[in-house]
Formats: sequence, C-alpha cells, structure tokens
Amino acid sequence: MRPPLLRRPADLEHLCILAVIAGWIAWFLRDAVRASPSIENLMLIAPVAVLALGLCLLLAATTVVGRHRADTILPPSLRDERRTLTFIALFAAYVGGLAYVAFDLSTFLFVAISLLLLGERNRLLAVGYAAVFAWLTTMALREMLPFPFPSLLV
Amino acid sequence: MIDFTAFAGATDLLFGAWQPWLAVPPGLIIGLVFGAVPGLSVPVAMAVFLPLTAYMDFLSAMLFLTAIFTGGSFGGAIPAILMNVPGTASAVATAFDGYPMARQGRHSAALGLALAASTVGTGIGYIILFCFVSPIAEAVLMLGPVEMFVIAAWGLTLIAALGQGSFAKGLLAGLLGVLIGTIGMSARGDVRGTGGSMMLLDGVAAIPALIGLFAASELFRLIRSNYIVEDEGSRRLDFGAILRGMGAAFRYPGVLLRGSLIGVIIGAIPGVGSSVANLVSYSETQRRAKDSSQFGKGDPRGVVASESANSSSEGGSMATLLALGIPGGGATAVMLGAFAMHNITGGPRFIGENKDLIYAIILGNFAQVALLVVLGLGFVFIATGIVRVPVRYLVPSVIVLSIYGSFSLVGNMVGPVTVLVFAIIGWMMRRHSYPVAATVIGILLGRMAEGELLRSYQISGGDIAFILSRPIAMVLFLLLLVSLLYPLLQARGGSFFKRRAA
Repeated sequence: MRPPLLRRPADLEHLCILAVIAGWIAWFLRDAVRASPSIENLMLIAPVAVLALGLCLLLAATTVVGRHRADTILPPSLRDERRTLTFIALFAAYVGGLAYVAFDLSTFLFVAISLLLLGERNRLLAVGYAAVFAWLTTMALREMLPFPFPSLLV
Repeated sequence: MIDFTAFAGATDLLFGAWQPWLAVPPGLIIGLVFGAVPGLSVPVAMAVFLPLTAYMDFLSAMLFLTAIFTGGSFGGAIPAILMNVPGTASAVATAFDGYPMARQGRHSAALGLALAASTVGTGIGYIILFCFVSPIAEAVLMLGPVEMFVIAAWGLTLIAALGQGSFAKGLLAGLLGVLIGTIGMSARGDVRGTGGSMMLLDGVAAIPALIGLFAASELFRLIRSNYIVEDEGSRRLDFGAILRGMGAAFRYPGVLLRGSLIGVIIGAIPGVGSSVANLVSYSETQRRAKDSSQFGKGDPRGVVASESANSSSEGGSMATLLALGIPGGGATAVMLGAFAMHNITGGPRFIGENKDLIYAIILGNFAQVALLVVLGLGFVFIATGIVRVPVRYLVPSVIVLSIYGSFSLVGNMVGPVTVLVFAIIGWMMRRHSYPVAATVIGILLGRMAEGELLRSYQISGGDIAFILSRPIAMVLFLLLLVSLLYPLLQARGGSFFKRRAA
C-alpha cells in the first residue's frame, strides 16, 4: 500500500520542482508576449511553452495520484544528501569568491576545503595540493587570456 | 574531379621540404589537451596559438591549425567518456554511452572505440573533401532556412529517445531546453526572458550551460563514490583493452560510414557543424538499431556514431572555408584569420589558382590521421589514469578547470555563474530522473530552430506550400519522416514476416 503524499518527501520535492518549472515557463511566455505578440515572435515559443505546461500538469497529476512506474527509483532524501548540499554551497561560495575576492585565493580555498569535506585526512597534503593546483591553473589562465581578472599572487 | 597535375604539385610541396611536418605533432598535442579540458575548445586553442602561425609559411600554418582541429575533435571525447563531461559540444552524444561504459570498467575500450571512430571519421571527411571540394561548396549555397530548420528538427527528434523510461519527463526536459535556448534577442530583434539583464541579450551561454548540466551535476553525484570505477580490478591501465576497443570499432562499418557521411554533410553547413552532427548521427544509429535497448547504457555503437560524425565534420567545414571563404564555426573562423595573416582570401578563385596548395593541405591531413592514432593512443593511455585518481581530488580539480574554461570562453563572470546555475538545475533534474541530455540538446538547437523557422516564415510569407518549391528541403523532410517511422516499419515488417513464417 502506498503511503500518503506528505509522507513521501521525494514526491513533494518533485511537485515543488514542477511548480518552479511551470512558473518559469508561464513567466517566459508572458514576457515573450509582452515583447511582441506577433506570430514571428511566438511561432516556436508559444506552442513549446503550452506543451511544456501541459506536461507539467500531467506529471504533477501523476505524482499526486501516485501512478508511478513500478521500477521508479526514489531519490535519497535531502537529509541524506547533506554532504552534496554542503558541497554545492561551497561551489556557490567559490563562484562568488571569483568575482569579489581573487581567482587564485578562491580556488585555493575551494580545493582545500573540498578535499577535507570529501574525506582527505592528510591536511598538509590537502593544503599543499590546493596551493600548487591553484597557482598552476591561475598562472595558465593568466598566460592564455588577453583580458584581466582579479588574483593575488599570479 | 581530381586534378592530377595539381596533385603532383601538392606532393612536391609536401615532400620537397621537411619543415611543414614539424608543425603537425605539436598541433595535435595542443588540440588533444585543449579538447580534453572541459570548457576549453578547438577555437580557443587556435586563437591562443594563432600568432605563432605568422612565423610559418601558409602550408605549415594550415597544417598546424588543422592538426589542432583534428586533435581537439578527438580530445573532447576523453572527459566525455571518463567523467561524463563533454569537453566540447561536439562530444555530447559521446557521453551518452561512453560514460556508462567507463562506469562499468570498460573505459579503455570506450576510448579505443572513440579514437578509431575519430581517425576513420577524419580520414573519410578528408577523402570526400579531396574528391568533391567544389561540388560540396556549391551544394551548401543551395541550402536555405527551410533546409536548415529541417536539419535542426532532425537533431531535436533525439529528445524523444532520451526519456529514460518516462517519455513525458524526457519531452519536458527537451522543451525546457528549447525555451532556454530562445532566451535573449531573437533574429527579429524581440527581447525575451532576459529579466532586463544585458548579459542575457545574446542568450544563455550554451557551452557553460552544458558543462553545468552535464558535468557539474554529475560530479555532485560522484562525490558519493570513492573512484569513478568502483571495481578496483577494472581500474588498471590496460593498453591492450584500448587496442581491442579500436579494433571493435570496425565491427560497425555501417555506423562508421553513416556517421562520417552525416558529419561531412552537416559540417559543411555554416553555423551548424559538429555539435549537431554528433546528435543526428547518434539518433540515426539508435533508431536504425535492431536492438536499441542498450543505448544510453554503454552501447559501443553510440560512441562510434558520435565520434565518427564529429570528426568527419572537420572535412565538411574545411570545404566551405576553402571553396567559399565562409567559416562554418569558431575553428574555421580562426583559420580565416590565418588566411588574412598570409594575405590569402578563400573562395572559388583561391581554389582555381592554388589547387596544389589545397591538395597539399588535404594530403597533410591524411598524414595527421595516421599520426593521431599514435599520439592519441599515448594520450589516451595517460588519460585513463584518471580512473585511479580518488574522487575527492578529481571532483574539485575538474570543477575548477570547468569554471576557468567557462570564464575564458565567455570572457567574464557570466560563464562561471551559468555553470553554477545549470549545475544546480542539472542535479535536481537527475535526482528526479529527468534526462539532462534532452535539455542540453534543446539549448543547443532551440535558438537555431527558431531563427531558421522565422526566416522560413518571412521568405514564404506563411505559405506552407512554399516547401514544394524547395526540393532539397522536401528530400530532407522525407528522409526525416522515414527515419522517424523506420523503427515502426521495422517492427511491423518483422512481425509480418514472422506471421508469414508461422
């Protein structure tokens, strides 16, 4: 017997994703119509958006009534994905650091913290690898690109 | 079609001096390295090393640049197979079956398959160029927006095959990609979906988006493992397995030949090229296969189809560059820069007056193909060492290279931010079994499909009967229909004959 909807966090998460996708598609369609309601502007966007919205509804309904395929594999709960979520947050901080701090320093911190987060027990090795890797890659980028980017040492 | 006097002149040019050959091995290695680093690409490699060609004669310069092209065409397959990170857009379909093969411990065989398919594809591409350089260029001029739209639609039909068990999810993922691909200013000048950001006027940066969707999201999943290949026994470096993989590619001569032909034809069309050729070749091979159940799970035919097409498209794109002076993509645009540096203008007159030089470039590329086998084998053998690197080192290192690559490609922080945003989207999609490959195909082809549809509408005035006046479009459309109906007809035919036999 299938447990009720609220007891299946994966279903709820899927419904949230579908809501975000449908919301973005509706906004995009509205924005396209606002830009120009002509056939030339909407001849591909409108049918594709309407079909995609219909599919969102269909998939949402399938999720709500619980008509899953027998072989559907449910994803691990977000609680079990703490390490992945932490890594994604670290990745986001890294991209932010590139823009507002410096390429070499951000790369060094990202690689060193990632290594420790992902299980490297030798801290000296983690820091040493991160320093060499950050220096080499930033120097290669500096040599290759004709335009400037922020860095501290290279 | 072959001018034998010019051919004799070409052999004199090539074998009369040893200097032109010096440029080939470094060119191939540069191409292999730049192709193998996600985000870096053949055009970037060519642009970085273009100034060097100013000190070379024209033939050496062209051999150097085409060597980068040849090396890079194959290099993109290496991260696609080993890490599910297509080094370039032209290796997207290589990842579909190459990566599952790697996860099963068959990474050496997959790389061998890719190397053999790439070399054969490049060779066939240049043989066709050698025989038909002028007719190919003339045929390209006959293609209009209607024909281009049919080709884009052909590539988009692959979306339907990527559902991973749920057709609705596959279709939604593909349609989402098409809509994302149309963000920005349309060919008519309408601005949609930018939210007022000037950064999105040219649309979403496709390569960083595909790196995010494919690569970063896969790397997020990979951190739950210790190694790419969990079985320790399968992690050893096996040169014999690479060679056996190379031999296995020749078990599929039809796939090799079809992929190569598709690559040459699509590669010759300006603005389309190898990023579409590999998808069309893959979808055709999957559709025509009697047993297609293993596609997406590690079928060698998928790797062969994709690699033969993306490599042979080099020959096609060189045809339009040499015969018309039109660059088909980023790589040939940089080559056009080398033309300008040597005061040469491509086109019919250039071909007419310098056929020996054209033949020398083509013959030089045959030698490059042979050299690619040797250098590629060594490079692949070293690259397979990736499976022995612990994931905790691999994941942050590859992410940094991808981020640096996307920054160098776009030229500002839009590249890295795009990778981040699409990495999160890709990870969420993968969690709920949405095929990110379908979204990537939508992004790559959505803008092209919309632009060509719009131009077709404007030329025809909205009259569908206009297609009747475009024989090439009709042939392409019929081929597309036959291709779509082929599995159905095959199944019906099979059951009919079974009934007759019973």
